[in-house]
Formats: sequence, structure tokens, C-alpha cells
Amino acid sequence: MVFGYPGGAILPAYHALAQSSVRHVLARHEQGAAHMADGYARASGKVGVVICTSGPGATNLVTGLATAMMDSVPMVAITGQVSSSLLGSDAFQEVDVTGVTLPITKHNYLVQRPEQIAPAIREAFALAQSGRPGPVLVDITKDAQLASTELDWEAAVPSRHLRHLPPEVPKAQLDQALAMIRASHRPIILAGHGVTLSGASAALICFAETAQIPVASTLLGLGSFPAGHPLFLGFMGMHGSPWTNLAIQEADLILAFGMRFDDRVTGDPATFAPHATKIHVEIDRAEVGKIIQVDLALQGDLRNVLERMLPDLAAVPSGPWLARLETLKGPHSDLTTEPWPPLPAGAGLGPIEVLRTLYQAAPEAVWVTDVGQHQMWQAQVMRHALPRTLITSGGLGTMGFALPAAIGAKLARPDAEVWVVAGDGGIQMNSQEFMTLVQEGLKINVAVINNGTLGMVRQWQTLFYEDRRSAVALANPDFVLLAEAYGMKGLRAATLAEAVEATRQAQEWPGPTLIEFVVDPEAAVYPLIPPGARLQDMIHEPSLPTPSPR
Amino acid sequence: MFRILIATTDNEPGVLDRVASTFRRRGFNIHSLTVSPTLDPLVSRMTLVTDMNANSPRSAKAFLERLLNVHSVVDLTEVASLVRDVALLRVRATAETRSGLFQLAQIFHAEVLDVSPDSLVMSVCASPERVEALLESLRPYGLLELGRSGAVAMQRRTSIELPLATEDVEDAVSF
Repeated sequence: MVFGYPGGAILPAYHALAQSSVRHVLARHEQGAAHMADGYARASGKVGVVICTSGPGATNLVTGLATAMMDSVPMVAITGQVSSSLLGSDAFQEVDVTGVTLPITKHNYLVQRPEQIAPAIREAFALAQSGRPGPVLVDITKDAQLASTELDWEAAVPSRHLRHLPPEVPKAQLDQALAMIRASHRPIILAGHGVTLSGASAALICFAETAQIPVASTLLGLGSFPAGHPLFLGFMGMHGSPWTNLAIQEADLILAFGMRFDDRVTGDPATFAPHATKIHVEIDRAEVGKIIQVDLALQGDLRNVLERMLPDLAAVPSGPWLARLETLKGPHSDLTTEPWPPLPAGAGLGPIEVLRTLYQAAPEAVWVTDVGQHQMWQAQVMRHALPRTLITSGGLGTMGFALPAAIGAKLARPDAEVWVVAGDGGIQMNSQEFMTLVQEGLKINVAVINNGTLGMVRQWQTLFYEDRRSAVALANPDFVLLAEAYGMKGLRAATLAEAVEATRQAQEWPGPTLIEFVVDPEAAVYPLIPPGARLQDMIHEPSLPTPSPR
Repeated sequence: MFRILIATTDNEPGVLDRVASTFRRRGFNIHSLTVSPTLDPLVSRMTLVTDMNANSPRSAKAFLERLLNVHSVVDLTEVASLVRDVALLRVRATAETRSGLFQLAQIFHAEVLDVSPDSLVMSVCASPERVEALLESLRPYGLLELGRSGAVAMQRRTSIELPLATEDVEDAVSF
């Protein structure tokens, strides 16, 4: 299956595609097609493919490639290019695409001869999914597409992608890690996207249970360790749960598994986990020591490392530490069921109530979120039990990601219940893809959390820019009518009872639906660690008492 | 502090762009960069000199080794290595100063390539420090033009017991 949009320089490839068994999904914009390939890859673990024409087609991929690059998503982009004789002449729809995409791809190719196509494509697929995954672009000139050659598939077997794959982590290093774990009293595991990417979820559960070590998760790590597990601590970082961030600051051993110490996770890196010895298991050597200096780095495949450590792993005496964490959690630790934060009297529908309603209706669905407040509320409220059930743009924070990514996810997992959660800002960044969704006959439910404002920006303006509201008020279309215009079912909810009812109707409706949830425009995401602050310097919901670290 | 990295890469179009882009993107300053084919025509060799903080958390070697086209990167900074830089320089020369300049050239093993009524051109192939020292010595005469190749470096094979040239002993200490 490929996602794409045809055009002049890729016409020969589309000519062949029409006769092939490859299913092509026609997006309405190349950015949408790129996010679809991304969502397909994230939902399935397979390589997502996007194909489009030269010039503007290819430049429209840029945001999608950068999104995939930041989140280590295996993708191959195939772009048409003007004929080789015209290269460098500023020909119609010519852009130096390999130049433009150089920093936002793992690698890219400019293919000018037909016999180079098979080796480039095979290597691109191998590279996209080897080591730390990422997007690879293959730019093929029109004359190379048109010319004939003998296809020697076997001769095109790739090998260069193996160059930098790390060898197996030496046993001595594993023993060193095991000794550090044995010596710890307040250990904590930080689970990142690498857990899902290396298929290490089961190994991680076994590891945490055997050693009795609690697990905190980055945004992209959510789902890689079951949120309902007694050892699951919660979501960490800027909008993470207070007890999770405080636990990191109190820990004496950090086990960073497949995560890269993003600034949204560490706060001020100089004050991050000040009492902890740090072990980093990471496949990408360049991530080791990039932000946080660690005491032991195991460069390799996480699943392999965990599975090899398991036979020698024993429980650490973490009883008092786990009891301490229960104290830190306090009474308000489960946003999924608790009415927290309490709604002020007279307030309308609260966004957290919406997320809770959605989660309770479909706890096992694949949730595809956009970027902003709803994304953070989602991460706080929903308790993902399985890998690949949360699909979200973490590193790049790409608004407009959710709708097209959900189309890719649904096509990858047709039997799964797939929901989009987006704000009224982000949904309009790629709303043209509603038509792709309808044309492909996909049953996807779209929840638009409409607060009539760019909520996260508004929140930052309130907190950090004297509440001067600059360019955040949104006039919106009638989302229900918009959905109906595309041939979807449109629903609206402005109270909790309506939210519950609309969610039920959406689930029962056989086709795609959109629910507009009209929510409190002043709601803000708490807690919040101001950028560059220490993890313990959280700003809390003003109406709630501040938890104290000790 | 200068670091010297030797990267062996595929000899194909665009590789230099990828290496340079990696340095730009990660904020490493390229002091000099030389590229040439090796004994294997499919392989290029780059000598990169970068003035990177020794404690910089970001490893240029690790970022370069992310690139598909890079075979390997060797950091010569902390091993015994031979470093050479070629400089062509034009210096002001009058009838009064010319003989002094010839003497300097001799001391620095530089070659005088061209003599005109008011200037002369020298070439020198030496360690970067020695080239710098020559430049300092010539500065009072009036340097008119300078072209430098950038460093080319190679690790010393300690098994072969040739005495190190004085400048290479100095290099091993200062680099």
C-alpha cells in the first residue's frame, strides 16, 4: 500500500502503478500523504510509503519527513524529478529535493539511470527500518522512469545499511549494568519510543516485574508498558504527572530505555535526576551523552539487551521506594476516573471530561492525536495498555498530523477502532483529508476539541507573556456541517451528557463521524514545568493544593 | 581545541554535502576539510579539523557515523599522528629583505617558487603549527596572499621505529 499524489514528473511511475497489485491511496495534499504513510508505519511497524511528483509535490513532503525523522518512523518517500538532461536548469517543477531533504531524512538518493532504481529502492527500505528507523527519500528522474533496463533484483541486495549497526552489547557491560541495578535502592525505568520500535514491550514488563522497578514513560513511550500495571508510574516531563517527575528527581538509578532525553522530558538538564546513576540503553550512538551525561551506555537493540539481562536479574529491595512513590501519588493519581481538576461552578464541558468520556467508551482503540493541549490531556488521561495504540507527533509537534495519520493507521489495522483527537486549530491544517477518509470508506471517528482558540499558545501567553492574547482567537466553520459536506456524520456536544451520548452514537454509526466537543476556552494543561526549569518546579492547577516533595 | 577526524566515505556525489551539513546542523565549526580519492577509487578520505570543545557533549564522530556513506571515522586527536598542511604564500620582498626571506625559507624547509621585483612566493609542507610559525615569522615582511590546503593526517604506525620529526613530537603533545 502506498499513499500519494500524482503529477508530471512521476507520471511514468503512476502509469505502471495502475497495473500493479499495489494499492494506492490518493491524498488531497502531499503533506497528508506523508502523514498517512507515517501513521501506517506507526500502527503496523512496517515501512510506510509515500509517492509524489517533483517540485511542489516533493516540497510538500518536508513537514511529513521531518515529523517521521524526529520520531524515528520507518518511511520511504519516492519522488519524481525532472529529466536528467534538465537537472540544474531550473526546469518546470524542478527543486533540488535531495538538497532540501538532506537534514530531515536518514538518507536520500537522486536516481538518474534505470539500473540504479532497484538498488536504491531496496537499500531505502532496508535503511528505513534498520538500526534507529527513519525516513528515506528516493528522487527518480523522469527519464530514468521511462527507460528500460534488465531488472536484476538479486544483484540489488542491500548491504550498506549494515555498516553502522552496533554489534551485540558485550556481556561485561550487561554485568556492569546488573551490578548497578543490584546496588540501587530507588531505581526507575524511563521507557521511550525505542521500547515499541525494538518490540521490547514484553521484555520490559518481565524486566520491571523481576527487578521490581517502577516505569515512567515519555510521550512516545506510552503504551509500551501497560498503564494499568501496578509498576507503571505515569507520563513524565513538561506535562507529566507530578509524582513521576518527583520520582525521577529522587531516584538513585535511572534506566533510560530507548529514549533520548528530550528537553520536554528533562527540563533543565543540569538539574535532571541529580541523585541518580544513569544507564542509557540506546541504539543510536549519537544520542548517548547528547543531552545528559550517563554513567553507563549500552549501545544496541533494547530488546536484545533486556532479554540477555533477564536471566541474571533479581529483585532489588525497592519496597520502601515503591511505598514512597505511593505517598507521592497521593489521592489524585487517576485522571481516568477521578473528576480532576474539579470543574468550576457554571463552567461548560471540560476538556478532561471529554478525554475521559472518550477513553471510557473505547479503552482499547488506537488513538491518533494532533498537537497541543488535547494531546497532553490525552496523555494524562488515557491509559494505553498496548504498544502502537497511541499515535502522536512527539518530537516535531506537527499540527495537522492526526487526521491523515489516522487514515494510515486505519488502513494498517482495519479491524481496530481508530479515533482522531484534534483541536479546532490542528484539524483545519489538513482538513482536506476528510475527503480521502470518505473516499477510502474508512470508519474513523474524529473528536474535535473546540475551544475556539489556539489553546496551548493561549496558555503560554497567559502564563509567560502577560496574558496578552496575540493571534489565538479562531473563527471556525460549523464542524457538523463541514462533516456532513464531506459525507460524514456530524455530531455536537456541549455538556457531559451530550458528550457521552455523541460518543455512543459515533461508535454505533457505520461510517466515519465527527464530534465537535464545545469546551471551556480557558482550560489549561496542568501541571506544567516552565521551559528550562527543574522537574520539581511544576506549576500546578491553581485550584489544587501543591504536592510537596518531602 | 582542534580535533582531527579522518572519515573514509563512499566516493560518490553529495557525500561532502552530507558531511558538511552534519557539521553545520550540529554546530561544529569546520576549521579545514580536505577530500581526495584513496587507493580504492570507490572510497574517499576526508580529513576534518574542527575546533570543538573537548567536553562537547555532542560527538562529531557519532553524528558522522550516522551517515550511510561514511564507512568509519577515526579521531586522531589523542593518538600519535602525522599532520601536514601545504601553504602557498606571497610575501613582500625588496632587494633589502630578500636574503632574509631566503634564510627563513631554509629554516622552515620552505621552497621559494617565484621571485618578482617586489614579492616572492613560497611553498611549505609542514605541520599546521610549523606553518603558523612560518606565517608569524613572515608577517613583519608583509604577507600579501595566502592559500592553504588544510590538514591531511595519518595515524602513526608505532611498530615502525622511525624517529619522530621534532614537529611531530610537538604535535603529539599539542593536539
